[in-house]
Amino acid sequence: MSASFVRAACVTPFGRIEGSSALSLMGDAAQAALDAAGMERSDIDGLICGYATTHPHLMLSTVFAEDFGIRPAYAHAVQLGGGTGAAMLMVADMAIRSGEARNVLVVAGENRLTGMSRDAAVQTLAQVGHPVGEAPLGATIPAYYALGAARYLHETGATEADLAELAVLMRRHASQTPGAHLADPFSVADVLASKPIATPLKLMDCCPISDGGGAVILSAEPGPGASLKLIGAAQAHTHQHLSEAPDDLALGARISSAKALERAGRTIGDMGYLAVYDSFTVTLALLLEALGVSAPGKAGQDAAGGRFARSGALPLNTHGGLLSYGHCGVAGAMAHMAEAWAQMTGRAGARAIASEPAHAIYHGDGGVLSSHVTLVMERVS
Amino acid sequence: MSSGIELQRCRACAKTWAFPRRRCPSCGGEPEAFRASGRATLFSATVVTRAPDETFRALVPYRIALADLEEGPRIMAHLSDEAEIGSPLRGRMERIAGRQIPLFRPA
Ligand SMILES: [Zn+2]
Repeated sequence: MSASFVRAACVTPFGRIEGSSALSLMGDAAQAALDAAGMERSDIDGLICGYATTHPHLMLSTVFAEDFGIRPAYAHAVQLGGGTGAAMLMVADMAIRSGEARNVLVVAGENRLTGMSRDAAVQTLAQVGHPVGEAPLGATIPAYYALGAARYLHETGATEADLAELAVLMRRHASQTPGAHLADPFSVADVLASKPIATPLKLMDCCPISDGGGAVILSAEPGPGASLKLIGAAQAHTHQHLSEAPDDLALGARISSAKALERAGRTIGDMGYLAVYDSFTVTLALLLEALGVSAPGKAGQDAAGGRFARSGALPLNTHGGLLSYGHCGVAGAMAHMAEAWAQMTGRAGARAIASEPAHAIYHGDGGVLSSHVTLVMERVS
Repeated sequence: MSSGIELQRCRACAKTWAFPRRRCPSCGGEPEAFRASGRATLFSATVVTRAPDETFRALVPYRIALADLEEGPRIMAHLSDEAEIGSPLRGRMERIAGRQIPLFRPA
């Protein structure tokens, strides 16, 4: 049966990249992926791109194709908020397995930091809220996640210090990753003392807004050397707005991960590397617990105990995640995939993890825990 | 006294919800509007100190809550004072930041 393989997954540096644009960042990442895969523009016959709030367009995929110089046989954009990166890979996998394309370039990029004012970014993102029932109340994305966080702490007995452990871990990882937006290590006390944004979330519980790009090449052939085979993918969409979310806020992650693992014929216990969406510390806690990695309320303590470290039993977001490598929209979550590919195929260099896991899980979340996409991958060599 | 908080209810299946819709999200039936009592239970709350715009910057810090109305729907609202999750609230539409917003107080 046909399958798809990750031939390359690359990101640009994230952070303040003066003079960048959505197209320049997409192009930088795409060129890096082509180079890493040893492929030419003419090899690419499928193109899936994300969206860019700094470059809204009806047809971003073909705008990019023309600019970058490819003429794909199959192309379109995907919009699923933070779930877009994983959703693009899922549809690229379907295009390959159906025979519609053999080499699909999946790409996104955005100058979200330098391309718009902070207020404009906050306001654009606040439109994730309902236009009648939520956004007019002066709610922001951190406020939506803060409502989830307050409920999470109430239900599980976890503390703000437990959540802070996840931020500390992501920063420790980012401190050794070239290209990370935020790399200065900090402590749990620093997180707890950082500026309040929306209780219980402080500044250091929140990801930064960055410029950056990411690209993945998915292929019908494994290519030379080690690569990653997609062995299971699934989605779940339980709601759009927080007001209509289920009581179990991360229910969608439970559904999509169970389905993806079942399709892969694996269990969460088989996974040896974790790539999990982490827009806020509480996002990461809720998702790790919904995936069945951590017991309810225990994700922070697992992090504190070293379980998710490079040298730990289950390395997590070893590039630093959205919380510290940075968040530039769609490509933000593609960095999780780039790191998974690098770690799983022995390309991580000085920051290589201690173990050599055979399987990795990648989970993306869009909206306010609204849209979930899970991919399960297996190392092949 | 009415809370002024508008809800919708399906004439066919009695499903009740808060976001304005043209048809019932369960069965497609025709909705009728009605006013909530204003009695609710606190599902979650946050104190916002980073406002989205100039209007709300003048109000920080302010509390935003998810309130479970006794009629069933969960709505987002402002909250006057600190309250424990699970505690009873009473709310009504009030003028905040130049617009009508549901405001709840500990009951
Ligand atoms: Zn109905």
